[in-house]
Amino acid sequence: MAVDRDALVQELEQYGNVVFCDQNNEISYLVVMSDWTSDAATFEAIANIYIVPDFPYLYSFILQGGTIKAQYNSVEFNP
Amino acid sequence: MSMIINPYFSNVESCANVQGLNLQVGTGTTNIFQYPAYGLFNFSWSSMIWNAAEMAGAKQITGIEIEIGGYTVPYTYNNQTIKLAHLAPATTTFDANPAIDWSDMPVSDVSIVKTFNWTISTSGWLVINFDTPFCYNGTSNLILGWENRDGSWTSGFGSAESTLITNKGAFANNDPAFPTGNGFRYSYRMNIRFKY
Repeated sequence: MAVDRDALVQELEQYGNVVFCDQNNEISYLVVMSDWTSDAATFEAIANIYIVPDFPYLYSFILQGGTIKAQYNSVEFNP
Repeated sequence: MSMIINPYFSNVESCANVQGLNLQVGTGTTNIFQYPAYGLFNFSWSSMIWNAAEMAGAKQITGIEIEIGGYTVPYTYNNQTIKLAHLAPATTTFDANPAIDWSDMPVSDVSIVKTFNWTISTSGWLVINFDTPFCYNGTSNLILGWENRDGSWTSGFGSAESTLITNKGAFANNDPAFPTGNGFRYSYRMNIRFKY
């Protein structure tokens, strides 16, 4: 099952501008948002529905000044 | 930890430029995206420590090879800087909040060995020859710093094959400027071959 990108983008656009939303490479999926108007929990709730089933591991996340950068991976790296 | 020493010249104990040898440290297979530069961010920093025992004697380090994978090629990081320095023998790991400028580390002979735009064109062991060789003294530990001052990010980035080793790595990422202050200590270190 692949990430339903269109549905994911539609959800995300309720809270900000989607700068990037797609697979980065074989094992990672990225979302970059600008002008995010909600909180991290809102983003995570959306990601849990659309991204996590295929890329279960949140590798990197930052919400700073309305910008979100999130990387989810399909394999776990951290100890 | 794993070391592979070129068997033909294993007793080199000076800083003489003997050329053509390499010392590999690390054979792990963990993909660390923060090493050496993190393509998700406009700016990033990474740093790693190797003990004197791992360095196996004095040598003039003329470059490195690092094991890279997962990039959509070609992929370019602009404005990259690699620094090397000696680290006092008693300091073998980073503290909990490592300073990006190494101000919390007993370093000496801090040297910029390479400034470049780095284009990744393939996966595997990639060679980076230094602009300025580093004369490693054989008794101190060695610390490497990699500054990614590209100023922009793009997708298609990958990672460096790395090895689990306690507290010998560090990283920081930031937008919209190069990170300052403290980074994060990390128990991974990228696999590396020191050329000498």
